[in-house]
Amino acid sequence: MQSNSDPRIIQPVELRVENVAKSFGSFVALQNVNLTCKVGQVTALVGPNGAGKTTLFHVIGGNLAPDSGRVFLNGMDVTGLPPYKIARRHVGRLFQDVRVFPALSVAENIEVAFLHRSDYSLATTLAWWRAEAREKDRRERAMKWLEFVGLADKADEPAGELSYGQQKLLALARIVALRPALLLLDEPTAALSPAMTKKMVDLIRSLVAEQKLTIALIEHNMGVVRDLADYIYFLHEGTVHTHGTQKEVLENPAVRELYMGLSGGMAI
Amino acid sequence: MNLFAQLLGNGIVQGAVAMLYAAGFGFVYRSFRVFHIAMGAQFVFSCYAFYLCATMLRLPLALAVCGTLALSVLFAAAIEWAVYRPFFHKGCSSGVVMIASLGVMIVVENLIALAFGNEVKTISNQLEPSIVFSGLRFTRIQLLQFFVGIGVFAAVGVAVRFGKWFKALWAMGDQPELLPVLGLPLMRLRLLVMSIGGILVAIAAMLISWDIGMDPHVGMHYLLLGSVAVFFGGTDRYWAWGAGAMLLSVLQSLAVWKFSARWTDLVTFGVLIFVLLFRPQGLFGVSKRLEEAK
Amino acid sequence: MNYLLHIGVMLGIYGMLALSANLLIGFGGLLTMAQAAFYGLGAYTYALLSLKLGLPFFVTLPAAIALCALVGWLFGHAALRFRNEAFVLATIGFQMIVYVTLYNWTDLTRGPYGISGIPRPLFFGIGIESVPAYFLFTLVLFVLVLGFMHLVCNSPFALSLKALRDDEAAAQTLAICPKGQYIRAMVFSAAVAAVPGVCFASYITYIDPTSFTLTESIFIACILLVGGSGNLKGPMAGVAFMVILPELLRFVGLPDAIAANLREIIYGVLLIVLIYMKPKGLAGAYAIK
Repeated sequence: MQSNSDPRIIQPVELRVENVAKSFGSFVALQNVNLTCKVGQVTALVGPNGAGKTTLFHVIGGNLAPDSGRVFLNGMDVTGLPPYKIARRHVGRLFQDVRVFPALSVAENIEVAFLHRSDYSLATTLAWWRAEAREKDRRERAMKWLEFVGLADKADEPAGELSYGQQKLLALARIVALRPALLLLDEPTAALSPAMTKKMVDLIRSLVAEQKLTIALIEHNMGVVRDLADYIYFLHEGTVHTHGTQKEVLENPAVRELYMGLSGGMAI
Repeated sequence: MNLFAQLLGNGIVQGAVAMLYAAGFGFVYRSFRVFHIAMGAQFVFSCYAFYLCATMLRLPLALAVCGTLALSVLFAAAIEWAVYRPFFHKGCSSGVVMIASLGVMIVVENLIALAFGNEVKTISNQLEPSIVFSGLRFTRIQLLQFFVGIGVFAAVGVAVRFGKWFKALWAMGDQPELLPVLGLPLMRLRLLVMSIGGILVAIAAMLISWDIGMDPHVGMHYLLLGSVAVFFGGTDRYWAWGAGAMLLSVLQSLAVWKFSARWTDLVTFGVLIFVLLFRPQGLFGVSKRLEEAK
Repeated sequence: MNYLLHIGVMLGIYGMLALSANLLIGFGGLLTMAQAAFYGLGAYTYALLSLKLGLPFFVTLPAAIALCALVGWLFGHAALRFRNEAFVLATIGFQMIVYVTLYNWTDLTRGPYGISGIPRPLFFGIGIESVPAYFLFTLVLFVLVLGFMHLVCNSPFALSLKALRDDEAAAQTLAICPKGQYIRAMVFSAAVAAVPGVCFASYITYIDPTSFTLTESIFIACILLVGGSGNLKGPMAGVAFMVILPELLRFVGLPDAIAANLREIIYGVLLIVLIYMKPKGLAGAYAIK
């Protein structure tokens, strides 16, 4: 991990969501959602399917414009900015379904995160005498992140041929290589084997510990939530039902009734 | 003023026929989610099938029309069976099937050119003397085009509105995998889509080729007009296809009045780009809600 | 001998066209049907500037490139709001508009009569007149374009395009702006397509709008669909196949009328079979979506 520390110091980002509402036709996906993700903390969003968690991430990430309400990064209003502009404000987004670039090699998948607007100029493109050095540099940086997630030996395989779990790790490495200050992780451990889940949790924990990232996490696996979350928001039918520390939320009888109670013997 | 009225009338007549081939394109596009380039091939095929039946075999008109319709349905079914269905089973994306459809278009166009030659062919008709309505002159074949076009389009429209099967065609475009779950025969419905598309295009092809003849390379022209009309009106509604086709034809005809006949294509594609830019859902389309940001 | 060199020139011209379209089709995943429009704009710009204003080659070539880049930039802003079929349709619309304009703006382009007597390139008083000389000249241009495309294809820009092509939403989370990158691709692609346009106009010395039709655009797209795209090998394989095949058919001794149709039928069948069996084409790196 030491090797990945970047000389650039990323300013920590605090996320604040105010009164966000979003409807699809007559279906109310979100209403009056307020939440804050504090710097250096893992904030978990939990709740049943259809509670609006992913919709909220779409709103924060710029994929959906809210009907009303505001999204602030360090107090700056970023509501309605397109996703790439949100990303340029050091927000990393991990989609729920794996979204690697299947035709690119594993290493290239990471390299995409290093691209900067200044790299696209005609002058840079034509500077053949520097192309090789740049490519080598990108490759080396990519390899460090691949070692971080343990995929270094697959660097030249097409990303589409990795297993599902490996693709998820790659997607995480790719988004972290962007050096975000705020990470939006949508079910990072869903459909992973127990071993892969543990690996993913360890990686996320090391990111928080060593890089002081702010993390917003959507997660159904309560074990993972207990392992990682500093603060929990429980969403139900598009609104924040309860929020607080693990103890305050997970032991709240109403939450247990609404979320876990229905499924009976869910480990908690 | 009289010229204006005459051109408007001509535009409406052309529009009545355009509604048919636009709908022929629209059905396949909406239900298969395939940019049905082979509709151009279907059009040329139907023209020559009519030529074969009416002129070469000298069949009586009614028989020639029936023969053309039958051959056209067979042709449509053949495209579905030989090309579209294998790609569907393989789970290919719409872009891939579009390219295959382009391949069909190229092959059929040139096979017909090999068989019938590249020169223009005409079908003799005894409907020459024209009819004059309060200063406007229409040939008999124009009247036929108008009434058959409007009539067939309306009849199919009523079937779309009330027919049980037709509703499934729209569902097919949204979620084809759902149909078997609902107990609907997906493959038979696909065949139905192709057959209706084939019949609509065949009727338009007969009406047009009877009037102005044909050559093997007219398909692309009518494909473009049909697809532009569908996008112009809005891809999600049957009536919007017809309205798009009618409006487009009238605009083209009026372009002749305002500029000259040579610039009609500029009007067509200028209108297309204008609509795509400022009303992407089409003039009469409904804007879709964003279910899930992709 | 001149016959072979003539084929060589045509290979060079279509090679450059395929390389220019490759950027959009193979790297951007955007099936453009407007490449012949830029090809034509390049050809007409060269013809008109050198005939009416008497400008020398080293002015007209950059002028043609610049004009195509500008038009590509303008058109890109409109067309790149769309993807998939709507994009294809928008490019077809643009192609038709350019064609109709070339055909009907008779004051400028002489419409269907075409422009004849276009000068061959002249360098320091030495004209490139003979077919062998022209072949060498085309070869030089082709190698320059190939070198340029080689740089572009290995550049960070191409990497960002490939990322957008594979998954636009995921690429956006990595701070890549789709519209900006796609417009850049459109501008590069249009600018490069001007070069074969100039080459064609000055080689044949006569142009009319029928060389720059939708059919021609489809043919260029077919080169990439058959040969493959997303790398440099694919377009080259496609050009070799699609340009040489008709010449081979001619050798078999088929009458020209039949050969033309037969050639098209072979292309069509090949298109269907390849896209089904081998969606990356003969030597491509990208399977059309």
